[in-house]
Amino acid sequence: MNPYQQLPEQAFWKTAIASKNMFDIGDLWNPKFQLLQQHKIATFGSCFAQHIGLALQKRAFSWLNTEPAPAGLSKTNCKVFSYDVFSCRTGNIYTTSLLKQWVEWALLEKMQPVEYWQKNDRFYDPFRPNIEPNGFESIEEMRLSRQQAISSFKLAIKRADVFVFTLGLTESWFNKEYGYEYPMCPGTAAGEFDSEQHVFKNQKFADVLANLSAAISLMRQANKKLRIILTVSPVPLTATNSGSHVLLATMASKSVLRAVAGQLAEERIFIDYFPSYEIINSPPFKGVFFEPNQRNVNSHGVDLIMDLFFQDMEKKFGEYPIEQSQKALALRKKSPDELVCEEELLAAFGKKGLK
Amino acid sequence: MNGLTDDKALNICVLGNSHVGSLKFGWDLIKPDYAKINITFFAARADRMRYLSIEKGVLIPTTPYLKKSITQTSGGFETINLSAFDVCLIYGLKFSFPYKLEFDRTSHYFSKAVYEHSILDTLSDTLSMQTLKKVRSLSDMPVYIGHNPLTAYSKNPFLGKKINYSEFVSCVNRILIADKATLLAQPEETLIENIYTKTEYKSGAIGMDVGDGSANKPYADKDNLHMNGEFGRIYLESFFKQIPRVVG
Repeated sequence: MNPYQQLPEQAFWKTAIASKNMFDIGDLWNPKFQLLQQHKIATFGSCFAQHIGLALQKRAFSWLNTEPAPAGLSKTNCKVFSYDVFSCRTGNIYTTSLLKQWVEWALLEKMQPVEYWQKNDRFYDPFRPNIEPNGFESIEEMRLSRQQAISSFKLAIKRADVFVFTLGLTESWFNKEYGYEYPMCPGTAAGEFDSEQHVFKNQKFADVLANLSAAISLMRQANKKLRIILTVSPVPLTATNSGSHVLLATMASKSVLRAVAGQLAEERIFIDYFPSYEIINSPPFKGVFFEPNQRNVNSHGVDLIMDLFFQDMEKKFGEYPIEQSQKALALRKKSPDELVCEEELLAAFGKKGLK
Repeated sequence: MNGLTDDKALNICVLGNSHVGSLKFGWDLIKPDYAKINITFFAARADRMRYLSIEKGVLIPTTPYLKKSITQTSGGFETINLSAFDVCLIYGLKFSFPYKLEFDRTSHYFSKAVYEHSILDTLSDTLSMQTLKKVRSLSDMPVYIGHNPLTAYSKNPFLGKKINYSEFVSCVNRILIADKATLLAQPEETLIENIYTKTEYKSGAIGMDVGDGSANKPYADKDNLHMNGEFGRIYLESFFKQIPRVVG
């Protein structure tokens, strides 16, 4: 007898994949810990992280929101001003180094850069360039708003039971002189690009791993019970500055992120990896969950990912209470076009922007 | 020349709900002192004014109850012909001071744009603004907006001192520019801790006569929202001072 003869069905492509309809493929995730309704769950990361926050709310989980919208602000304007998108108004955190930067601002009270971007008489936050669509009235207002986001981020780390982080990119832009990172290339969402000041870095496996490890260590020091779920965004790059074809750059970037997430999940008991990337991108799913632009994930894909997330959770830990399911049903359905994705802006700046 | 000149009577129409009661009782107290001002009240309880529709250049009640209320409060008019008035005051009609938003601001920083959009979104949903739109579709006369009276001061108010009432008024007035309307700030002498009404102005508050048999009934002690005639007197006299009078 060889070792393969004792393996379960899911270990074999033929029985786990080839002989099944794509919607019957299961057992993709063996969660390390249970999410309970009362667990406070913070969600941050790339655009795709927004789906997870929405899905948690729809299923009546305690999605943690430490920077809620002011009373009276309409749903439309919540979206415009990036409220209720992530657990606070950090904007998209695409890279692990950017996560580390936010964590250091929040927990080490590391000095924030003084840089601001100005257009006419309005001021833009280089670290959240899209957070106020028409910019801020003054530099002071911009700083107070960012400080609120940092305080709220700190609160999210300290209060959360589970921190879900979606890794999005390896390509990143830094200030050459001071070393801090921008979430977007200056000159795209706002600001002006200066090749003397702004430097591109396509982060390697070791960089991504080191930054994520450092960020998580700091968060765990601040909140010893904090558990982490890592996911990798299945959304391809809008554009690459790596010199490669965007398809190759996407695969290279996602592979690095997937490898880092997998390694950390293997090594640390309080870190889990959920395979949203694989569910959308693997061959059995034939790319059917992408919109016609082959980039954005459609609502069916999002629903499938989140259904599998909770199915696998229930399979391991038992079903959720009926009242939670009923409440969840009542809250279902929110269009994916309600997401806020700054990276989409890159397309508008390319010669052949997405139509 | 119309009543906005010094030498003619000024005709004011007041459109509102139960809060108009205090203005009506206040007007009863001071009417003899203002020989050149006429006020006609058009009011109905709660949100029943939403059943006003526009027909042939006038506002028409579309329910029997509203028709009865308007007829009763106006002294016999079954419809509202805005062309008969020089100034309009839209009072109450579900436009409340946004306490929750203002309390939120004491613990969270919101940019000015976010604050203004919150106010705008809140305001847009009110019957007060819906009524303003109707009035504006028929008339260019000066329109003033009065929000519901600020809540009467209770034993355990909190955070009032941290809240800037005049900033709220300025913000609403920036929003109202689009409809050429002006928000009236609640008179300062009625205020306590910036955002509450002194309790003496709720004392003895009674319901107005809208023709439904509940006229002059006192509001419950725990009612902190409806004010008395003295409040109405102060409010109206403050309002009169804000109406620009053109020398004819």
